[in-house]
Amino acid sequence: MESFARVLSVSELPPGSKKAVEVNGKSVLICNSNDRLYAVSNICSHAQERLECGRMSRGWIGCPVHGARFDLQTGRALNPPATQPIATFRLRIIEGWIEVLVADPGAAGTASAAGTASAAGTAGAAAKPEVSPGEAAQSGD
Amino acid sequence: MSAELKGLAGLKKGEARCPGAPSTQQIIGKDKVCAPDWVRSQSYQFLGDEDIATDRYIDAAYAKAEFDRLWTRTWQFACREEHIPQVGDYHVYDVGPYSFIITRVAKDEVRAHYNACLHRGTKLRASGTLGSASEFKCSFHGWSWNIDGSNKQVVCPWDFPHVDRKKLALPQARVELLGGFVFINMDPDAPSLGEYLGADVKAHIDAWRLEDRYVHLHVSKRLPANWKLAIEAFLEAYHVIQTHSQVAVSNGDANSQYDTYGEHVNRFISTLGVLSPHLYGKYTEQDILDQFTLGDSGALGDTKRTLGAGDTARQAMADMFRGMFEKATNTDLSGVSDSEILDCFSYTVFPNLFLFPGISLPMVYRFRPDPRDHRACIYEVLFLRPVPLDGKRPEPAEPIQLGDGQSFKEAAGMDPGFGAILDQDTDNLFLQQEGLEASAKHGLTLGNYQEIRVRHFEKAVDKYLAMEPKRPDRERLQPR
Repeated sequence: MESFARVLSVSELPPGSKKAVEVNGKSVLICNSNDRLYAVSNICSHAQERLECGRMSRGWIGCPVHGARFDLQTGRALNPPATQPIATFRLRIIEGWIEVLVADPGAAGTASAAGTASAAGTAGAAAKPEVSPGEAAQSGD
Repeated sequence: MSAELKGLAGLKKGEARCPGAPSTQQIIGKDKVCAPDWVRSQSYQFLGDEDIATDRYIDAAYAKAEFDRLWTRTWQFACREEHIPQVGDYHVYDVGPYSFIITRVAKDEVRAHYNACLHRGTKLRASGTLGSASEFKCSFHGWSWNIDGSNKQVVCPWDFPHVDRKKLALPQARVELLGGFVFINMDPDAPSLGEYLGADVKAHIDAWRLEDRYVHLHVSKRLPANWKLAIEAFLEAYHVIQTHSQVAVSNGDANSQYDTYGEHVNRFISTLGVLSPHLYGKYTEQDILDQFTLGDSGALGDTKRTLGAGDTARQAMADMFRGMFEKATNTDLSGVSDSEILDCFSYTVFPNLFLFPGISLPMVYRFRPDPRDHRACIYEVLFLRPVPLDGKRPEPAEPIQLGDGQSFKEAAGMDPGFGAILDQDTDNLFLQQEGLEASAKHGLTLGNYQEIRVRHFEKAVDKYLAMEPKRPDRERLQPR
């Protein structure tokens, strides 16, 4: 069964800001860009560096280490050195709280059940996207 | 001899102007809100009338020589300051084979690092990208540099006892900031940007306060012609009556004003809201008003107006647009002249930058050669709008990359009328490129006045191509 996790109050994330949170062992970046909220993997698909200190603008996030950029809506890699997307996660706002849906890799029958156990046990070190961009969707605010 | 030519007898070369038409200065002189000095000046000089040899457009070896001689010595627009607002922000600028990481290293300091790892040469950032960094780490072996260019890390330093870390800073091109633009120059011996432009032009640019504008729209397209042909397509209004007949109804094309300044800058002023001398007697003032085309009409909405007796289209448009632009863009234009509101001011800074400081036509063009094909170039058009009165600067627009077969009208945010004009300008280019290659005549023939900017531009090309090659030398490009 799908279960959204409550991660931040909306007031904690003013326009142009972003925050990393842990959900089900995944490092998830919650972003307020271009008048929308997004939830994406905090881990760059190129060299598994964290994205949270990267530049964010007009609906994209850049990796601060090697410079890859990703579309916050789709997770698509916008420029080298990344070629693979990052995961995106569904997001909703309930009673002023931001909630995200990140599949629990320990739960049977979830979309990310194929994810490796070792990755699930290493907080913030998910090496590959658990949710393909085609499957992912967010709700804006 | 026709009566028209007879009237010009006795003039020296370059002194003839469009017969029977008011000059640009006479048109502007009748405006209600007076134009500033930089508009009211003239600076034409006859520069010869011999043909321009065409090998420069069609010979790959010539393009190679330009990369070694011209691009390594000239001041170039790399990015806007707004592209790198925070310390650590960077923007990769490429020209030909050269690549730079334009980086804000302090609130008021920008550096241009040569974009190559000093280990085995990998680019530290991919071309065409931007972002923010606390270091520039090579994605191959992990050597890294601080944002100021000093070396941060050599992986396994025990294996590199022969490398002097003190000399391992990233080489830098020179950087100067002007009007919100970041200019770079690879030549440590080049004149300052101020000297390069000259005092007159520097004063013009200072007066425009382009640092108070922001990039509202940014469109890029690859064009099927040598970069110099593409530039020359925009250097005169002589082509308007044939290429843009829809515009001529409200454009003083044949009586536009052309000026040159020193070796690196030239301009035209082409008045709008007046009838083309080619069309005198065929249209009314109301027709002129109805057919006016704006570069930035997105700010205006859909409006029409009927002229009263004795009203001129030009004055009516100036009055109308001033109020509408102010409202639509939340800006104060009360101190801006009618001419600046309406007219097309086209300046070029050699080698490849166009600045249009007007309000209705607020563009920046940049043309860069395709390093792999001398018959192609990359054209960018940016629209700069005034920053809103509340002082909140919008983020610069993301570049829209058009495909080869796409119309400029397809770029989201582009005014359809202006997009059509750019299509008309650029659709001629492959025909000119191929025609020059096919021709039995090996020179361009130029008008003495209306095409003076083409001659002035090519004289600057000649100057740099006559020099010895100058490749970047790491030893001379260490940080200050």
